[in-house]
Amino acid sequence: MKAVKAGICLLAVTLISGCWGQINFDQLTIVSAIGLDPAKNNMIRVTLQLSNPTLPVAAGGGSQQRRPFVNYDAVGVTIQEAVERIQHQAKKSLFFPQTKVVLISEQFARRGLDDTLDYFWRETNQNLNSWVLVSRMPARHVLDKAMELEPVPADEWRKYLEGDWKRPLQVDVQMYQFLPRLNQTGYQAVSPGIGPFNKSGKSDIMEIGDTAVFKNDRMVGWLSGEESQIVNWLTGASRRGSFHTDLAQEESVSFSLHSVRAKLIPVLSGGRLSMKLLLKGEAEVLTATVPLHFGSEHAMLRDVLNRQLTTAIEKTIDKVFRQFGSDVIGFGETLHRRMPAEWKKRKPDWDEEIRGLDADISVSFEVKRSGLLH
Amino acid sequence: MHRQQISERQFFFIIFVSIASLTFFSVPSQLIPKVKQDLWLSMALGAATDVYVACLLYRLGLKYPGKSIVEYSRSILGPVGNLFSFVVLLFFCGVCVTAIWIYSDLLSSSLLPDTPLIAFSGTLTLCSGWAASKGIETIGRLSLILGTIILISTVILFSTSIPIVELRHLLPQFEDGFGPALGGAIYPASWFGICILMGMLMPHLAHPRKTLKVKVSAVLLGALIMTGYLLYSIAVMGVHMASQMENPLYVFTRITKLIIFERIEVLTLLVFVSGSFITYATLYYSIALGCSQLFRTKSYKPWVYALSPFFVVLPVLSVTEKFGQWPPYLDFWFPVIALSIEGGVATLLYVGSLFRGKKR
Repeated sequence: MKAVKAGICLLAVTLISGCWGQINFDQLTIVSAIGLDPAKNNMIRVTLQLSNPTLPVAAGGGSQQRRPFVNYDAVGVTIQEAVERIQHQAKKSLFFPQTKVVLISEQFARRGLDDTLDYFWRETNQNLNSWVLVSRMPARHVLDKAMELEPVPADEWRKYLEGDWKRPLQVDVQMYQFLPRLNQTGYQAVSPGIGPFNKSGKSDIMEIGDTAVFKNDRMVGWLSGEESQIVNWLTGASRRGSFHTDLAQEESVSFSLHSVRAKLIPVLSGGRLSMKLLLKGEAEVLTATVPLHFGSEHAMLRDVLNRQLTTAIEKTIDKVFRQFGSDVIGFGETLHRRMPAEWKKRKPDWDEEIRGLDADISVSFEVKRSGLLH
Repeated sequence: MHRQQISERQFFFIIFVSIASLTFFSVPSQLIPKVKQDLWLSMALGAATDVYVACLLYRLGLKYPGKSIVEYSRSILGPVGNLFSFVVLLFFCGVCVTAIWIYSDLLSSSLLPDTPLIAFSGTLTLCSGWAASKGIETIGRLSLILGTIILISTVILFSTSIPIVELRHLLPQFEDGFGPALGGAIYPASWFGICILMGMLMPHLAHPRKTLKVKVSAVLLGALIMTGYLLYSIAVMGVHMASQMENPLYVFTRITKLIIFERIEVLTLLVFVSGSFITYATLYYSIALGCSQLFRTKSYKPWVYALSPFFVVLPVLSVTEKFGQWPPYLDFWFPVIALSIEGGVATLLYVGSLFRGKKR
């Protein structure tokens, strides 16, 4: 009987399902970044940045002269088709679960993404935590030319995007947040941009900045750093920031802003919908080009800050709502949460409705500290 | 035949692990697209239905001490009772095949795409059948370990996922009224109701009088934790994305971190696959024991061996695949049949016992 049991145990070993599709390490290569560009005849050019890990010095890798990464690209009708072609070039099994960033070129983003990015929903090996960036130049060029402190550029970009210390002038979005917003009415997608800081020829330092605005699955324009900061406040993505006010000609004061809280309130009056926006927070003087008397000028500073912030917010809302026709601050979703019945009526025409939406903006920042040590 | 005994704690963990693992694999794709953020009400109603069935089985168990549902069905309804028992055992077999099919399908589509389905059903049947042949005491001891692992890993996962949770994704509540949540309750209720195997386990409890308290606590904890998983997946991904995924709980574990570890879906699957092992082993044991009681055989073990080919082959047969297409079978036929048997049989037996009086 014991022999039978031992035999069954031995048989079970052959059934260990993990061994079915085993891939040795040396047959595997990690995809650090994916670049997406448009190609001729409505096709897609996919560029994969494959990491080429070197052995640690202690393990005998000290004298290795290997490129830290290699880029491969191919064209296909779908991303999957292009990836399969790259597989033939790389001659290794492509490992996607650790992909750091997905770069979408501006040209491709303006063409529309919804028919192609379903690959990231369906392919279970894709990393839904990868960061999405829109590149001002072809994604293939960004991946080829990027020069960063880290050997693999995608590692550097990922660390920057996931760090809390990055400036609030920067939006950030991961694939699992980006994908559903491409076809979600009432809260549309944004993505940070990336492009060369100073073109120096063979390799460039890449700058992550500005914000690509999407209307449904198409990119419709860019927001500046200051506008991105306002979008971050209104969506609750950031509670801090900085703001530069002009007191008079060549007289300016910069503030550091903390505890920023925004509240979007839909107001329905006589069948007409408008948006009430309350923004509160605390400010601290960071730098001033003129001597300040904090005691006597405190109220003036606060008023100037609130007034100029109101103007900046008005301009940003005007740009995203009226110019782009995109609800990137998620006012539609706010209406959905607060007045579900009203949302059902307005949802079909929401993209048009926000173009004529009135916004009542109320900003109240308290200047708490002069920035000097007491 | 020597009757093995299990403690209240072991019984608690058997029920808790069964609720958790069955819900993990089966309920999300049925519940989230239909009920969305109101699913907590469906889960609460599902748990309440199960508590109702548990109350009936508890009273029956006390009225016929030492007897399983198969045995007291015969005492209450005579030969018709045998038919009832047969239906219950057939239902248990159906649950086993369905659950192994869903389990194999998820593992195949998410984790091991190159592995044939029969490897999943084969290994699971082999392991759970082996545990079943060793008896309920073995399963109970294992459930203590695996139940604790599920609890601890859940607490850590929930705590470390707080930074990526967006509570606004859980609003608005009851956007389409209470209808979807009430209708959706049939899904958790049908899977939770599988705990009518309490009717088979109660005679094995060292202190049967504590059965109801332990069972209700286990169901409530299991429902609470799995409601937490479902709400977390919506709060992290948003209802739009969560309702498009075949298993949003699995996708949630792909997105979140466990302290500093990323891509922990394999770990989560490991925990719930282990949980499934307990569930199938308990079901397997109950079916084999029930068959031996129904057909009056000396030992239940031959039934363990006899049933194994069905559990290996049926979940992967093309006919099952066709039968198991999501919309008609899992969305309608399974919940309706399950609730009719779980609630219907228990109620009929209880009403029958009231007329029959106390019989031993």
